[in-house]
Amino acid sequence: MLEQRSRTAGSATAAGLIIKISVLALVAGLAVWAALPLIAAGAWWGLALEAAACGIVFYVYVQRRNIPLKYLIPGTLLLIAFQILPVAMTIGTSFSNYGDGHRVDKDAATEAIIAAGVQQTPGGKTYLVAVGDSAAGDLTLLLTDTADGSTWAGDAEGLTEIDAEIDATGRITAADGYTVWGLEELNERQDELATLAVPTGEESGIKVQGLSAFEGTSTRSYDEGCDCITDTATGLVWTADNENGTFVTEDGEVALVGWRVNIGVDNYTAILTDPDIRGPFLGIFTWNLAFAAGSVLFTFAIGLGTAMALNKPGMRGTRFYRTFMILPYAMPSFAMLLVWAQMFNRDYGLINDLFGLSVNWYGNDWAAKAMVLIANTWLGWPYMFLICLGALQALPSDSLEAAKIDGATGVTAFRKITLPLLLIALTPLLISSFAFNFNNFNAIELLSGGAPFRAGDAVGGTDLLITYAFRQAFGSSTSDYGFASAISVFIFLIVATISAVMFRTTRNQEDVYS
Amino acid sequence: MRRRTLGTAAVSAAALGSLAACGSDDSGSDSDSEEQSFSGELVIWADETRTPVLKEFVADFEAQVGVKVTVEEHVETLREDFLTAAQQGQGPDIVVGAHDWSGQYASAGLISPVVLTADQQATLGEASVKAFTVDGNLYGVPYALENIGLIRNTDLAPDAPATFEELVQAGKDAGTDEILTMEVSVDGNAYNAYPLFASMGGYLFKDDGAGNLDPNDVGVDSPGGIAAFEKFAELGAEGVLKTTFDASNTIPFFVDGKTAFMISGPWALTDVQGAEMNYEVTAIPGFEGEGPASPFLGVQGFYVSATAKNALFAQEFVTNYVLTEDLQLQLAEAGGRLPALTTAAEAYSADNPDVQGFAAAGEDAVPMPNISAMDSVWEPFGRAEADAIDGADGAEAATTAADTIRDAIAAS
Repeated sequence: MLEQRSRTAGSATAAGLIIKISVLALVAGLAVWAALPLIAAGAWWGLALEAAACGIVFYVYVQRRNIPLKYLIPGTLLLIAFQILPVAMTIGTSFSNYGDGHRVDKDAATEAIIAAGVQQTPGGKTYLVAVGDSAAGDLTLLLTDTADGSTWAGDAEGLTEIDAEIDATGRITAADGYTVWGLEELNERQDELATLAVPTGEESGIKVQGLSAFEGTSTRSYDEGCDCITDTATGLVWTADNENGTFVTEDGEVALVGWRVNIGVDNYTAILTDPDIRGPFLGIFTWNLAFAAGSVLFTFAIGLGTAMALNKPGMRGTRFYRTFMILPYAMPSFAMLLVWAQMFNRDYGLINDLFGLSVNWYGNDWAAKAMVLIANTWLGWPYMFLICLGALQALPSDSLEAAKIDGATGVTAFRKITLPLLLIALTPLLISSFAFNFNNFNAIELLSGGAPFRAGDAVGGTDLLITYAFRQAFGSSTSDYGFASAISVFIFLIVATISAVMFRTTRNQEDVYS
Repeated sequence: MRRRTLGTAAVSAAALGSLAACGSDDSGSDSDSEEQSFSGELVIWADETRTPVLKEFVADFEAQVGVKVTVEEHVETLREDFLTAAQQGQGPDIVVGAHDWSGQYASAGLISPVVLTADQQATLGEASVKAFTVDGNLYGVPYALENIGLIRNTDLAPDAPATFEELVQAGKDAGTDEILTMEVSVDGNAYNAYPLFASMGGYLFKDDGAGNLDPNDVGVDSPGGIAAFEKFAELGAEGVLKTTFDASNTIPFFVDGKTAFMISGPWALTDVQGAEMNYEVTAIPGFEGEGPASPFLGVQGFYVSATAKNALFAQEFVTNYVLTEDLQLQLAEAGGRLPALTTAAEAYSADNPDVQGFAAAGEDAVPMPNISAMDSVWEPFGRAEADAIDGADGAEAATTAADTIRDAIAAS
C-alpha cells in the first residue's frame, strides 16, 4: 500500500498525474480498438505483439523507476512500427514471387480456377430466385422459370414443381409448406446457402447468381491426393507446382491464377547473375552515385559562393537578395519539377528557345543527365545557401584574423581555414543531402521519368535505382514486388554503407581539426 | 462471408452459384417495408467521374433490394487500390474500371466470373462482351465504350480527309504551325499509335478468330508491323508526328488553332468545346491503299470482387441492374462516352454529332487486349515508336520492340 502511494507520487503535480492517466487511458483505448479487428481476423501473432507493446508501455509508465526508459519508449516503439517493420517486410517480400499472377494464397488461387470452370448449360433455363425453409426445416431454393413463369422448389434432391404466389416481377413471395426468407434473413444467413447444391442432371445444377439463377455445370474440381485440378470438360489436369506457385498441365500450360510462394534468394541471384539485369544495375548504380555526388557538389558550390558573397561586410541589399534566393526552395518542388520538364521540351521548351538550341534533352543520354542535374541543382542550392550562410556567421573570427596576420591571402585563408572549419559543421548535412539525392525519386520521375529509353531498354539514361525499382513494382509493365523489394534491399545496403563510411571519415576529420 | 468459406463452398458443393447466391430473393415482397432498415451493405469503388453518378443511382437499387449501397471514390489509384485491398481479403464488393484491367485482376484471382444469359449478351455489342472475356470467361459487365478519333477544326480544314495522305496535305494547306497533333511524348504512346499501326497491317497478338489472343504470337515485327514503324519514321522525318507532342501541348495546340487536326478521345472535347470553335469528329483515316485505321476500343465496366463480402447482391447489381438503360444513359452523360447497351447507345447518340463521330471512328475498333501479356507491350512498343519518329530505323525499332516483348512474356 505504501509502495503504491509512493509510486503514484512519482508525478510531481496533479496536472502531471492527470495527463499521465489520460494518456495511458488513451493507449489502453487505442489498444482495444486495434485489438478488435485483429481478433476478428484471427491474427494471434499480431494480437500478442500488440499486447506486449501495450504491456511495456504500462509497465514503464505506471511505476516510478526507469526514468531513461520513459524517454526512450515512445521513440523506440514508433521506430519499430514505422522503420524496422517495413524494412523487415520488404526483406520478407524480396524472398517471394509476389507480383502479378502471384498475389493470393494457394487456396484462393485454387478457388479462382475452379470458379472459372462454371459454365451455363447451352440453352439451359434461367430462374428468378427466392430462398425458404421447407416444413421439415430444409433449406430450399424457390425458383421461377423466366421463360414460362412456372415455379419450382429446389433442394439437394433436385427440382419439384410447386404452386406459389409470385410478385409483379415473377419472384416467389409465398408457397405452401415453405417459409420464404426476407431480405434481412438472406443477408444474415448467406453462409448457410453455400452448403446447398441443387442438381438438375448428372453434372449440372442450379447456379445462383445474385437474385437469379441458371442451369449450369462446374467442370473443375481440386483433388488433394494428387494436388491437382481436373477439368472434366476439356480433360485437362493442372498439377500444382509448389516451387513456383502455379498449376501446370503436362504440356507446360500454366493455369490463369498462381499463388504467392517463397522462392528463396532467386530475386537476389537474378540481380547478381543475370547479365540482362546485372548490366543495367551497375550502369544505374554508377549514374546514381554521379547524380547524388553531382547534386551535392553543385548545390554546395553555388550555395557556398552566394553565401560568401552575401556574408561579405559592406554588401548592400543582402536582405533583398536573401529573400530572392530562397524562392526556388520555397516553392513546391513538385510544381517546379513539372515546369522544368516543360521548359526542356525540344521543340517548344523555353530553354531551347531562349538559347537558340535544338538539344533533344529527353532523347540524348548526356543531355538528359545534364538536364536533371541542372534542374535539381536549381531546386537544391537555396538549402545549401541557407546552411552555409548560417555556418559562416558562426565561424570564429579569431582564426581568420590570425591567418590574415600571418599573411594568408583570401584564397589561402578560404582553403586552409574557412572551408575546413565549415566542413566540420556541414559534412553531416552534406552526407544527408547525398543520401537524399541518392534516392531522389521525385526529381527523376517528374523530370525525365528515367528517359531516354531506347526500344528494348529496361533502364533509362537517367534512371536511379529507386526509380528503376519503382517501375519494377508499379510500372506500366507487369508488377513484380518480390524483385522490386530485392532491389530496395540493395539500395538500403548501399546507402547504409556509404553513410557509415562517410560518417567515419567525418569523425576522423573532426579529430584533426578540433 | 470470408473468402475461405466461399472457396470451400465452391469446391465442395460444386456450386459456385449457390455460395454467391446465398441469399437472395425477396426483392418483391419486402421492398416496401425494407426501405428504412437496410439488411446489408454493398460497397462499390469507382473513380472520380463515375462516383457522383453512381451515388445518385444506387438509391433505386437500395429501395429495390433493401441493401445499403456505399460508393467510395478512389482518385487516380483505383486499379492499384483494388489489387492491394482485395488480396488482403478486403476491399469492395464491386469495382468499376476499364476492361483491360480484367486480365491482371483475373490472373490474380481477385475477381469472380459473371454469367450473362444469351439474351443479356445480345443487348450488348459483341466487342464489349469480348473485351471483358478472359480465358473464355466473362469477368465484367460493360457500360461504356470509348475510342480515339480525328478531331478537325472545320474552319481550317473544311473537309474530312479520306486517307492519311489527304490529312497530311490538308494539314499543310491549312498553313498552321503543325500538321497534326497526336500525343506521342518522349516515351511514345502505343494507344494513340495503334490505329496507324493497324492500318499498315500490323497486329499485336494473333487472334484465333474467336476473340482469344495468343500471347506467343507477337506481330509487332510482322511485315505489316515493320511497314508501320517505317511509316512512323517517315512521318517523323516529315514533321507530322513529333515526340515533343505530349499531354501538355496536344490539346492546347489544337484549341489555339496551331493545327487543324488532332487525334484524341472524348476527354479532349471539354477543352475543345470550351474554346467555342467549329469542329467535327470523324474516323481516323487509314493510309492510301491500306487497311482502316482501327483504334483500340476501351470498355468500362463493373467487376465483382472474388473477396466480396456480399457477393450475392454484388452479382445481382452487376448482372441485372447495370444493364438497365437508365443507368447506362446517366453514366454516359456524366462521362461523355457511348453506352455499352445498344438501345441506350442509340438513344444517347441520336442528337449528338460528337458521339456519332467517335462511334463512326470506332466502327472498326478492336478491344484493347486484356491479356496480361499486353502489359509487356506498352513500354517497348511506345519507345520503339518514339525512336522511329526521332529518326531511328523503323524496321530495327520494330524488331527490337518485338524481341523485348517476347522476352518479357516468356519471363513472366
